[in-house]
Amino acid sequence: MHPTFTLFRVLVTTGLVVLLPGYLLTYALFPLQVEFDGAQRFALSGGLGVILSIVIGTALIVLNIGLTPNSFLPTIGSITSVAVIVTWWRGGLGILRLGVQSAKLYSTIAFLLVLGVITAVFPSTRPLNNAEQYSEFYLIEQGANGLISRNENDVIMLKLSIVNNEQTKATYTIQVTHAGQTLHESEMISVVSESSWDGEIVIPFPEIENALTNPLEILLFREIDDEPYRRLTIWIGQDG
Amino acid sequence: MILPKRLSGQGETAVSTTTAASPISHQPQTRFSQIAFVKNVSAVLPIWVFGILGWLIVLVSLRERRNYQDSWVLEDVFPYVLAFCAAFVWVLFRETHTSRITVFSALFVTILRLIPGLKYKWAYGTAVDQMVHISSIQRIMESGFPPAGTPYTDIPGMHALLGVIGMVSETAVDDVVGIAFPLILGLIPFFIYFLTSQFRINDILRNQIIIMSALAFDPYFLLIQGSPFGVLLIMLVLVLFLSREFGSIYIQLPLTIALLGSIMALTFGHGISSLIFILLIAGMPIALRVVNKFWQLPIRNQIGSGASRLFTFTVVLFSSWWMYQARGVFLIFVNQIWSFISRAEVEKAPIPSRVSELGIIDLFLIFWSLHGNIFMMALLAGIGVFILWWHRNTLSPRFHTALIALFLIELGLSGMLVGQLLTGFGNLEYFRLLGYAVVLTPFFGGAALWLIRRKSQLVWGAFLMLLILASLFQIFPYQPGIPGGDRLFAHIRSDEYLLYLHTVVTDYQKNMLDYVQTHIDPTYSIMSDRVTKDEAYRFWGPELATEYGIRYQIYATADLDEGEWDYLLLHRAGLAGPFSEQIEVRHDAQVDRILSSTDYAIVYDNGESYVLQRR
Repeated sequence: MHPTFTLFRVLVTTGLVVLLPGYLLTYALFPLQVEFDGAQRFALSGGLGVILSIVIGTALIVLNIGLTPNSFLPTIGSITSVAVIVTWWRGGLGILRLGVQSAKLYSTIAFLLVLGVITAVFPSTRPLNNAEQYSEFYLIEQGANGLISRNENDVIMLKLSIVNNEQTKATYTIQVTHAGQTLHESEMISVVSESSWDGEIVIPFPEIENALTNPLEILLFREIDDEPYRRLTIWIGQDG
Repeated sequence: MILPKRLSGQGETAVSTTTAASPISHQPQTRFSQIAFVKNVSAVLPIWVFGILGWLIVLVSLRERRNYQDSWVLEDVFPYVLAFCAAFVWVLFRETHTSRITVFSALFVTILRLIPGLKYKWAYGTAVDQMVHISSIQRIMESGFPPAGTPYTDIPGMHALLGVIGMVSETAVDDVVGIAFPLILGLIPFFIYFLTSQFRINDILRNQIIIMSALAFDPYFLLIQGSPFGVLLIMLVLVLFLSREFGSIYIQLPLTIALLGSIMALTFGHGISSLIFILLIAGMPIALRVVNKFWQLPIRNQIGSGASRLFTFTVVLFSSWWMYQARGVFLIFVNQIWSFISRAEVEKAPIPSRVSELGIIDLFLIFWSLHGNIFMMALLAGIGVFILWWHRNTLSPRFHTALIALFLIELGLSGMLVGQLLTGFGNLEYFRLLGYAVVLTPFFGGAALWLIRRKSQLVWGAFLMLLILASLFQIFPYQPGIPGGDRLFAHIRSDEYLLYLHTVVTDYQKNMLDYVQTHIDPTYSIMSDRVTKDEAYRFWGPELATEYGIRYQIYATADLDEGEWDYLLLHRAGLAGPFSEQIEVRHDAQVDRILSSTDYAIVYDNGESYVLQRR
C-alpha cells in the first residue's frame, strides 16, 4: 500500500477507534449541564478513548480471548452503544454535536478531502522516491566451514543469486577468479527491477591449483561498471 | 499597554481585589488596518501559512521516503521545518485564544513527530527497546496475543492500543508506530489545557504554559518507547486527579470513574511509569504536610487526603497486577532493587568513561545533542519557580496548591536523578527519568515566558524562535555535529562518528537478515554487533531470534579470532545503519580488514552489509 493511503487509513482509524468512543462516553459520563468547550471535550475524548482501548485490549488478552478485530470491535461498539443509550435516556442526544456549526464543518471536511486527494496524488507518482539503489549477491548454498568441495563429476558447482534493487532493469556478469586467474566468465545476465536471478556456475576442478591457499573470488560486475560491484569468496575444500 | 503583574485570572484570588485579565497590547490602529478585509486577512494569514507548511512537511516527507540511513532526520526537509517553526511563532504572536493556541501547539508537535514515520520505510530507532515494542505489536496484530517471555507480555496496554489501530486499518506495524503513536502523544497539550481550565489563571500565563507543553520535547521524541506513553498516562491521571480535587460537585463522580480507569490504563500500559507514579504520589501527602508546617497552604491538605486515596487504590491495583499477573516484570524489578542494595556490578555508569578523553567543544556538541532542549526547559522552569514564588500572593488558591503538588513531584524526580549520579548506579534509565521531569516543566517555565512577554512581545517572539531552533538539534539528532573518530584516533576518518544518535533501520540490514533466516540453519552459531542483534529480534520475532541465539560480538580482531562462531554478520556504519559500539572496533578500516581476512568466506554481499562464514 502506498504510504499516503496508509497515512489516511491510520488517521481515520485512530479517530474511529480512539476518539469516537471517548467522545460519546463523555456525554454519557458527565452531567449534561456541564459545558465543555471544544478543546476540553477533545482532551476528555482522547483520554477516555485511550483508557478504553488499553483496558479492553488488556482484558481480551488476559482472558485468553485474544485481541482481534472480531473481539475488540464488538466490545468497544457495545460500550459505545451503551454510552449513546445512557445519553439518550438522560435526554442529551440533542446536545450531541461536534461543537461546530454545520456550514463550517462541511466546508472544513470538503477542504480536508481536497487536501487529501492532492496529498495522495502528489508523492504517489513514484513510490519510495529516494530508495537506495543496490543489488544483493549471495551464495544460495554455502559449503561447510566456508569450504566448497568438488562433486562426483569432478566439478565445483556454485549456486548463486542476484537480487536487483536498482529501481531499474540491470545487466550483470559474473566472473570467477582464483589466484589472479579467471576461471569462468558468465554471459550477460539481465534482471528486472525488484526481482532476482538464481543460477549455477560450474567450474572444472582439475584446473585449480594451490586451491587451499587462495580463495575462489566470485565477482559481480554491472554493465556500467569496470570495477567489481560485489564480491564473494569461498575456499576450496579437500576431496569428499 | 502594560501587561498586569497579577498572575491570577478573573474572580478567584488570594487577595480580595479582582482585576480583569488584560488583553495583549494590539498594534496601533491605522486607517489601513481598520479595513475589515485587512483585519481578517492579517488574522487568518498566519494560520493558513502554518497549515500549508505543516501539510507541505507531510508531503515532502512522503516524497523523500527512504530505506537507508541518511545524514540526519531533517535532510531534504529542513527548510520546510524551519519555515514551519517560524510560522508557529507567527501564529502564537497573533493568536490570543487559549483553545486555538492549544490546537496549534498540538499540531506543531504532532507534525514534527510524524516526520521520521513518513520519511523512513521502517520505524525509526535501532535500540532494543524499539525492537521489542515493534515485535510485540506485530505479534498482537498477527495472533491476538503478545509474545511470551518479554517484559511487556503482561503489561500489554500500549501494544494493545497500537495493535488495534494496525489491525483495524490493515496497515504494517512500522506505519502504525510511525503515525499512530505521534497522533496519540499529541494529546498532551490538550490535557494541559483541560487541567489549567480548572484554575483561575491569567490568560497570558495559561497560554505560555500550553505553548511550553509543545516545546518540552521528551528525550525519546522520535522513538517508540514506553516512557513517553507512560508520561501521557501519568499526565492523564494527574489531570483527572487535580480536576477532581478542585472541580465542581457535578463532575466528582464521572471524574472519579475516569480517574480509576486511567490508573488501570497506567498499570496495564507501562510498568515503570506506574511504579514511578506510585513513588511520587506516595510522598505527596507527607511532603504537603511538611510544606504546610512552614507556610500555610491556601487549601489545607485537601489535596493531601485525595492523594492518599489515589495512592491506596494505585498501590493495591499495581501490586495485585505485578505479583499475580506480571510476575516476570516483578522479578526484574526485584533484581534491580537487589543489585542496587547489594552494590552488585552495574552494567553502566551514570557518566560514560570516555567523557574525560574529549575536548570541551566536543563535549558541548554531544551534550547539546542529548540535552539541549532539556537544559533550556530546566532553566526556564527554575526561573519560573522563582517568578511564581515572587507572585505567590496573586495566585489563585487552587492553582497555588496544584503548583506546589507538581513542584514536589518535580523535586522527587530530580532527587532520583541526582541520587543516581551520586550513588554511581546507572541502571535507572537516566533519560526515562528526564522524560518524566520534562513534561511538568511547562507549569513553571510558562511563568518565565509570561515575564518575557510582559516586557516585550517582540523579544518574546524572538526568544521562542531561538528556543525552538536550539531544541531542533536535540529532537532531530544532528549527526554531522557529533565529533568524528579522528578526535581520539588518528587513523579513523572524521566522518566516522564517535556516537550514533541518528538511528535508522535500513533495507541493507533487513535483506541481510532475510538471507540469514532463509539460508542458514539456526543450529549454527552466529555473531554480530549489538544493533544487528536487536534488528534480528525485530524482524525474526522473539522465538526465532532466541532459536538462532545471535551472540553479541564486537568486531575487535582478537575477540573474533578467539570466539566460537560459524557466521558473522557485518555492516558498515552509515548507509546501512548505526553502531552502538565504540569507534575503535567498528570503523571502516576495521571492517575492510575483516572482509579481506583469509580466515573467512564472504557468502552474502549487498554493498553495505555482509555475511561471513568462518573457515
